[in-house]
Amino acid sequence: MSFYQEIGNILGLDWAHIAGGYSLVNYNGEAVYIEGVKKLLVISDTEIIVDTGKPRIRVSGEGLAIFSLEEKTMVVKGTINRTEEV
Amino acid sequence: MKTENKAKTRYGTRILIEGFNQTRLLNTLRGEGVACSCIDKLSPAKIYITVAQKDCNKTFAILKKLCYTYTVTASVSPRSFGRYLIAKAALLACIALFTVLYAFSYRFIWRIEITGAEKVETAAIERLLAENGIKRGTAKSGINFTALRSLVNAQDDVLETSVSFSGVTLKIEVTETIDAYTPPPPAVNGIFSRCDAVVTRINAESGTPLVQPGSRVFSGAKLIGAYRISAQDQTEIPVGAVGTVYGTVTFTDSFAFSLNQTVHVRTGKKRRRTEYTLFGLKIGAKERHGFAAYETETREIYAFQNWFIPLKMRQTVYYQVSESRIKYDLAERTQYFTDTATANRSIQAIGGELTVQTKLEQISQDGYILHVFTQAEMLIAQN
Repeated sequence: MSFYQEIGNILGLDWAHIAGGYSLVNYNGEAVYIEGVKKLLVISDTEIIVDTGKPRIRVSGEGLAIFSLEEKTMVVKGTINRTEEV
Repeated sequence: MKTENKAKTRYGTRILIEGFNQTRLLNTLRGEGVACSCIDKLSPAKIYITVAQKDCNKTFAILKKLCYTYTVTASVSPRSFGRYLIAKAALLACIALFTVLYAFSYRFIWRIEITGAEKVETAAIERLLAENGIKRGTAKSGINFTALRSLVNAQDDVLETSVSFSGVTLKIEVTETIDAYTPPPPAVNGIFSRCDAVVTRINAESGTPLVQPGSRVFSGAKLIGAYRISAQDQTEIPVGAVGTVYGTVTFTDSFAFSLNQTVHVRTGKKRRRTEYTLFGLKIGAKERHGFAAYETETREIYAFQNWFIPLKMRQTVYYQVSESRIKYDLAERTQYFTDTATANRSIQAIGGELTVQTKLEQISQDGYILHVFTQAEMLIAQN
């Protein structure tokens, strides 16, 4: 069981419903960890847009760079000003 | 900070890149001002990216410098996208035309289906409909069901008619009148035996019996003559022959079989494959089932017949089979073939009574021939 699934269970969330979605952790505005990445749509210094299925996640900030990119997850480093669904 | 490189995702060159450390590559491209978009990570060593046409050369140089293997898989520019649309325009136009024609033709009758007519000729009903303006190409709106039913009902031997539309088909279901039983006319040439037999009973309602119970007769032999003997001068007076004759018939069935047989047993695994044909032409690639040994069951479905669409569906179920050897018991096999031989005979036999005798011959170590002799009393002639 993943860390997020454990939290989901504690919160009483329907994991079957949310398993196909995304999870996102913002580390003090200095890095963002995103789980459930399907495609990386846009990369720039100030904006990174990620396709996670239905919603897209936009990370806005300054000096953004991809720290790691795996098949389903990624970490963006830089000055994170905002994360939002688009 | 470097300049902002917001990618335009609609047009660009799609590149498949093989190599590790993709994060370094993406950051390098971003650092060099290359706008990447639609990044698909296929595996730790394979990634797809899309770059703008103007950044292609710069991207290739970076990839070469970082020793990545790359392949350009597609290039979409406004011009190529336009060419694609033009190429597809003909197809789209055909689809649109077909849709319009289909919607238009749906308002008319293109097929007339008449069922239940045996005594009344189907062609006669079709002629009747045509004379009243109902034929292929007639508008559905111009058909009055009540008038149509009355028209067909007025025909001889028609009891009732039901009329309905099914797609572009006009369905007419005819229920005919039932005739009272009329006995067959007397046989003017006499009554003849259908098979070789020993006569057991003769019921001659008209005519003269030519055989007695116990007589052995052959197929085609005359059993009841179409005449009677005058009581006055013993001359033959022609009359129609009417009657039934029963006799004991002997059948012989032979079965060759082996006690060791290889049989194919279905494993339970199956694959269902569906093939479509339009105007008799197959659509799509050949589908594979992957079984080394298999049995198939195929059925054809002409699903859209009533909608005037020449699309056929052919569904085949592939059952995986495995070979296995079976050792039969001799007594069980003998009984099985005896039952097979007598199954149909008992239906024909009067009262279902049969006399069965068997003779078994061994022809090899595991091979046998079974002869089944069946005797039954049957109807051998009738008029």
